[in-house]
Amino acid sequence: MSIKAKNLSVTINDKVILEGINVTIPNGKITSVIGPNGAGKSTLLKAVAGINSNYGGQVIIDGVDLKKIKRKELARKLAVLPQGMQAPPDVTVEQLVDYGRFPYRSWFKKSNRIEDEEAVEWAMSETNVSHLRHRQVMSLSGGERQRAWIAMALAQKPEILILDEPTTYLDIAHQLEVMEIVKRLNENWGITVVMVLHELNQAVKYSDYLVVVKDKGIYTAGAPDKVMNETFLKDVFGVRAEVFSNERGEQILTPVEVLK
Amino acid sequence: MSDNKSSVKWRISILAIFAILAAVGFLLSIMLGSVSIPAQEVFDSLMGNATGTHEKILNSIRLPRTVVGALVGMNLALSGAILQAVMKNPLADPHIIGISSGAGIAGIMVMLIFPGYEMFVTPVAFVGAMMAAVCIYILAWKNGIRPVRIILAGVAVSAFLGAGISGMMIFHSDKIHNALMWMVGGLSARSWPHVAMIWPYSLGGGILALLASRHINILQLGDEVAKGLGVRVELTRIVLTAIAALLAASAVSVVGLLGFVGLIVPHAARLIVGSDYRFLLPASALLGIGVVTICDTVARVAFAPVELPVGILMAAFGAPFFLFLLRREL
Repeated sequence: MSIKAKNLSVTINDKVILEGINVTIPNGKITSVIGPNGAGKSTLLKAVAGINSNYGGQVIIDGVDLKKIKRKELARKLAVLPQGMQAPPDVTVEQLVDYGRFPYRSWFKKSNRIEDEEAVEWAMSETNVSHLRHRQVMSLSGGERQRAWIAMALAQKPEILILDEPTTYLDIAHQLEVMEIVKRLNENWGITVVMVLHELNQAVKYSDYLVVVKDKGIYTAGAPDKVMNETFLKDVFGVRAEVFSNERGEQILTPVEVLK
Repeated sequence: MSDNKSSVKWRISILAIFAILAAVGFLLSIMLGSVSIPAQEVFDSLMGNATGTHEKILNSIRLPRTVVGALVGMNLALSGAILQAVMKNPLADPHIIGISSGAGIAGIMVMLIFPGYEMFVTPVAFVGAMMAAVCIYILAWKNGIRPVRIILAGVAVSAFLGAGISGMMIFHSDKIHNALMWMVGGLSARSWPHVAMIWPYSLGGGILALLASRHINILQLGDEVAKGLGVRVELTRIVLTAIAALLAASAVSVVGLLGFVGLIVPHAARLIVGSDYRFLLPASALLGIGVVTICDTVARVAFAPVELPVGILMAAFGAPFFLFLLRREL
């Protein structure tokens, strides 16, 4: 499943948020969208995920124009988690994950019970929330809650998983947990992952591909070791930072100061 | 408690209890009144093998009134339950989408300004209710609909129409009594023509609401998540709002502005069965039937020969009971 944006532009309340975006998200890889606050990262994600269809240009998924794909059909291929999800207070983890089977159900056709159950169990075990199945989602800790929502998205059995800031507000252990889940999903099941991340070291460590959004457009896109360097940090974030490699060969960046 | 509440067994037993409550309310409402009729005769009459005065009272007064009460309770409760999810607001009820104020101004206009045409109160109130609802929807529209805009537009339109209602009542204060009774909502003198007016909406609206229950569940997760799961959010919201408006308009135009059922009954049901609409909708409907029929019976019997409008009684008993539920749950 490939995603391609062609001359994509988004205007919200007469304000241009994105303009003339051309980008191809590589198939079967982990892609992170990074960039300063307000650059339009979430807007880009919402457009390619079909949540906001009020855009100019084209989004092409597997060679087909996104606007020509039926909503439910899209939901069986592509799952998306926005920010700040809310569930009614009595919804349990298992119920929530079961909602992920919605695109497979219809008034006219009985869904396959066994298939539904298997998908729900699989999604809960992949995200390590099986033991929390009877707990209420809103009573969980931030990390557990995020995993439960990811499980709901997985129950859609998507080929593409789109996450908007999945680690924001989580402590470092829970951040790592979420990132490891994402990595496993990509490695074991070949799910294409696209996510917005703020934590640049994480983006570098876990992504195969970076898309950098700045000033309504794409500043650059490419493999992390090609993208991440001192000039990039200065140009995009206005920050002086040092980039070096640790003994495992991973790129690490340390911010030094804000450049005026 | 929390685990209990989400188990299917618990929710089905609650539904059964609500069903019994509805049946008991229905029977009591038929049996009790200025003349009490024993259960045996009620059954005989319902089976069609009874004659005499009791049979007459049953068939031409008690039964239609009870059926109207039951359908009104069901329609308002369903309407409120749907709107609370669609508007994602616990204060949403048929009032908020203009049903009450629209029906109010149209109905009261007929009663006060054209007093000779009281038989048209119901259809005119129905039209008024739907017009107000459509008006609010259009006023709230701006690149799609946001629930908050509907609620604010609803408050403004209701205030505007409320001014009209108050104005008319002041200018016609000599014949205000009927209008006042209608403002609080009551079932007195409701008969078969009213049943005929309301049941198609109860049936159609009820079935559509139940069919939409899975969609409503998903809407509760928020617009973006719902879109991601394949729900056409805007369309679903318009259709559900229309169903809720029709349910409430048919009820309000027949019995007047019963305020309480549409707001409190769905909440009470939600506190007991939880927020899964596959259970919450039938629970609300059954509880609505039970509450209205029981309250109407008490309103007729408790202060006989004076008959209270059921709206007063429901608010007087229902609100404290709801507060009790609320304190216990939180």
